[in-house]
Amino acid sequence: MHIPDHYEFLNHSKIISGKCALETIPAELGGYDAQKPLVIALKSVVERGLKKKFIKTFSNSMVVLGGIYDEVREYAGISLAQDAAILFKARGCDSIIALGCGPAVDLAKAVNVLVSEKIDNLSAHYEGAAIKGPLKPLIVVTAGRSNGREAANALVVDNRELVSDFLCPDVFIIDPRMTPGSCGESVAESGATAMAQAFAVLTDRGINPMTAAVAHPAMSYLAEYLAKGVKRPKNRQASVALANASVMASAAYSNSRPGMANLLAGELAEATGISAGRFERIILPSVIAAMLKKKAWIEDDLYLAAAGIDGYAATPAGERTQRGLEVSLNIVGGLKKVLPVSLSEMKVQKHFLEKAAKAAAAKSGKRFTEAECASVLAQAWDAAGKVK
Amino acid sequence: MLLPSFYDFCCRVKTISGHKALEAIPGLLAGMNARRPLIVTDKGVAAVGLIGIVKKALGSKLKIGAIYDNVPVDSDYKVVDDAAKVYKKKGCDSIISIGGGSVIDTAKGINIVASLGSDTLLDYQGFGAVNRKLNPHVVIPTTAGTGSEMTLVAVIADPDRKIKMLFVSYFILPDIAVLDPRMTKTLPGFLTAATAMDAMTHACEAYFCLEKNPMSDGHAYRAIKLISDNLLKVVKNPGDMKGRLALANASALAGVAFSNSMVGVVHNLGHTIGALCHVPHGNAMSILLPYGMEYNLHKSGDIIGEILLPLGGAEIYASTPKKKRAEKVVELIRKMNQDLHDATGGRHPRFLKEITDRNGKQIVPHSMLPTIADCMMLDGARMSNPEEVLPADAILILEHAWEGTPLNRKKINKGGKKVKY
Amino acid sequence: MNINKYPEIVPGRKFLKEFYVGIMLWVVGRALQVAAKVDKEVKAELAKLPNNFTLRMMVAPEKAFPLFFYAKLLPSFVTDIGLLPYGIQMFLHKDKEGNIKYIGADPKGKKADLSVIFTSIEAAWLVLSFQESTATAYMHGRFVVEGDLPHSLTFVRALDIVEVFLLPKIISGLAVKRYPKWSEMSLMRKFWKRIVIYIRAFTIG
Repeated sequence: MHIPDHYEFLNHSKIISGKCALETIPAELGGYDAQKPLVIALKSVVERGLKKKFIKTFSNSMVVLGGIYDEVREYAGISLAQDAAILFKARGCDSIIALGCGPAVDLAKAVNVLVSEKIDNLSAHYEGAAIKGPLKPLIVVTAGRSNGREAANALVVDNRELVSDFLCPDVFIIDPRMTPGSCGESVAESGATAMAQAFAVLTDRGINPMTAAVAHPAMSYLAEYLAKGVKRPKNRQASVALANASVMASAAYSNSRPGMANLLAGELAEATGISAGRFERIILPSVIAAMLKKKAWIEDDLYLAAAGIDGYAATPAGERTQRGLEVSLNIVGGLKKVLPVSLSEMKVQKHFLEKAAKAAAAKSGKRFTEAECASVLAQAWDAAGKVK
Repeated sequence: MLLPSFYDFCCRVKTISGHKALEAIPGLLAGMNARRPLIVTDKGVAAVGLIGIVKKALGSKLKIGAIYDNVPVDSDYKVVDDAAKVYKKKGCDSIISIGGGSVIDTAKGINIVASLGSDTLLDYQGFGAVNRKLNPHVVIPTTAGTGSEMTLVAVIADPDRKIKMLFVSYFILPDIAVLDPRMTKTLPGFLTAATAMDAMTHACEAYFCLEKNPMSDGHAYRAIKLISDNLLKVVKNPGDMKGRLALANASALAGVAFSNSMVGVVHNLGHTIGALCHVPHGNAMSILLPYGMEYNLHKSGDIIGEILLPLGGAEIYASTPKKKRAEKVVELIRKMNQDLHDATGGRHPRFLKEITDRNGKQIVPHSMLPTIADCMMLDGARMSNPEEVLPADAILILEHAWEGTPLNRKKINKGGKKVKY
Repeated sequence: MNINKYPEIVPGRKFLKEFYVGIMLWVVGRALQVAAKVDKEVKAELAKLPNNFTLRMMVAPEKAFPLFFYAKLLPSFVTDIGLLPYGIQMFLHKDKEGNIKYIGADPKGKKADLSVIFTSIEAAWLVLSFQESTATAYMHGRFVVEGDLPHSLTFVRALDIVEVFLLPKIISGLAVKRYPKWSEMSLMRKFWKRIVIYIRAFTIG
């Protein structure tokens, strides 16, 4: 097992998952001496009628919900954060609960910075000012589509990123009452994001035992439950497992270097305004195909996590890298055609590809060349890296 | 991978690992607005010159407020209060603790008193008494085994009332754990063996006890693998820095695993033997581990069988039939103890009757076993063991562990359902 | 922005579960009191607790159930069950002679040496409706213990034995880790104690 000469690792968030997980929120808040949270909710989650269930879980507790701010849709903008901050102050809240994934969490983190640092906007922090101290407690109740940034030490508001260890949420609540997805598409998108992240962590050369330990269950759950979850988005067990995978993958990923699929998808998402998960679904098979071709050596962890203990042990040592990549390809293949499978299908303009390849190679710290990125994108254009 | 019906996992310690990890401390402390740390350690650590290494690594960037090296082996709250006074007098704003479990626990206590403002630790007993962020605390473990750098518990004695006070809070977790092989380099072979087997026990028990969860499994798996790959090498060649780093990592991984998944009958009996007969914790653990596994074989044999992969490697795992895997795990642990026994020239005990003090006197006399079995009921670890443990069961385990014969599994009381994790 | 669009929400209560949990706490308290009198094993187990010892079982948070001014007006059997006025809780007291006695639900003037606190009403419901065994519930953090841990282990062990006495195997098999064999607890003893404890718990105590 590989241990790098130097590494740093932080996984700040506590994960509470399973039956009656929501009912632990009052006790968790109590641990922080807080009892009046502001809830920042995804509109889609509220529209699905989960709000009522959510409120009910606070019965017989001392917690008063300072308000449920449910204006968050697909986009986290600073004006929403400012509104929520006003609500936070007006009601005298002392903590934040994000109900839903993706933009709700980004926004909750932004609100948390605004109210804890007592500022009106984030511009000072964008320019490099450090966040000074611990922020208010932030609890995330996972629901809806994930963007892979939930457990990370970063937030993205108005497409600008802010990084600080203080931004990690304190607690993740994964409750079977909240996790079932609305449609296969959103499950597939979260799954693709988690898959790309876990894959990046497990194939990174600088992998260390701590990130591997966190990414391992993420990959295992994806291997076991992704196809099932996409087929039956309302299945509780699958949805809980996938939500777990999302959180773990995102935690491990924030301690690791981005892989090629993440970088390229990120660039394309920024250029087109379409979410990165869809691009990751398309690009990941091509990346894996390229790695298979190159016969790059990777740690055993990938195959162990994806194939499980028995499958791993039954394979001779020399074949594990290869088989690991193949199994990963199959996992992505489990998404079938729920999401588009080629860039041409997405009608991405071709000149974006060149730019994306260039930018991704520049951001990779010389791990991939521009030519490699471009060839992967070319493959992804007509989905050459098809599922076996 | 198993998906538990409910679990929680938390380890918010930032881990810095590497051959030059110590050098990163000043920068990290500055990031937390700390400039003047109090160094907490014990005389033993200071005597082998580890403080010098740390000081050199910290360089001139950090001003050390004071060095408190009066932590005894069995620390109590008076030491904590005393050190907290030093902390306040010298105007410190953070703590660096260098040492084993006792030093780290004491430092956790000092941090409570120093951060929350009272004069004595006694004010913070009870559930929820520690309820806000404490000052920065950096831990540099010098024994690769206890995993205290990753746990949210501090055990500190109160000699007046003759009890051990338990402080449990997420705020007690240290902020940073620094794993640097230079700190464990001077540890003699038999201590390396004992502490690493302690970590091994943490990892194995975390893997099969009731609160097991996917995250703790991921950590435990890697800890077991690292220890089984490296321990014998390091005991035979103490200067193996790569191996030392691996063991330090394994200890931290095992610490994360067991503090989230709790431990079972091995720790239950081990704690009791430690408290009653003053057996070193690591020795008790390494002796009892195979017996604890055997005792639980009928309840969670499948899970214990999975340990064979990290412990023995893929070839052995694949060539052993599924039903025999758990027994093979027990066999390998026994073999590991035997190998360590040979490699340390007999200083690593295999059975309870082999543990002796400096004068060669038996520490655990056979007559003590019934007392141990009775007191075992008062240790919290028995809750998370898959099988119920009552005094009669404990006697069975202890008798065999004392003699060094494999557990007679026909005599185990069975009943009830298979474990649902 | 109109903040009135997002009103403050004070969550409600789950009366049925409160009622069930309240009654179960009463049954547990009374059953322990009786079992300590009639069964040697339970008695020996509880003898490990120090004398003059008060044990409290409650559902957190206590303050969610304010002491209503009319508490005293209610008939005592209502308040004894632990409903509404005092929050859902019960007290057991071990006096100087070592007798265990259920002493109601009124926390006034009582100082608990050991508190077993269910973290929420839902957690109490899970445990007291036997959906989770005592050990599993402890693992899942459904209850926390305030006070000396060894004492709580003693208490849990006594509770396990009483559960075997009181409940049919189908249910208590879920609640304990290992159901005792006939050699450990004879059928005669089990059924006889079951009848005695039930009758005495609901009558003379």
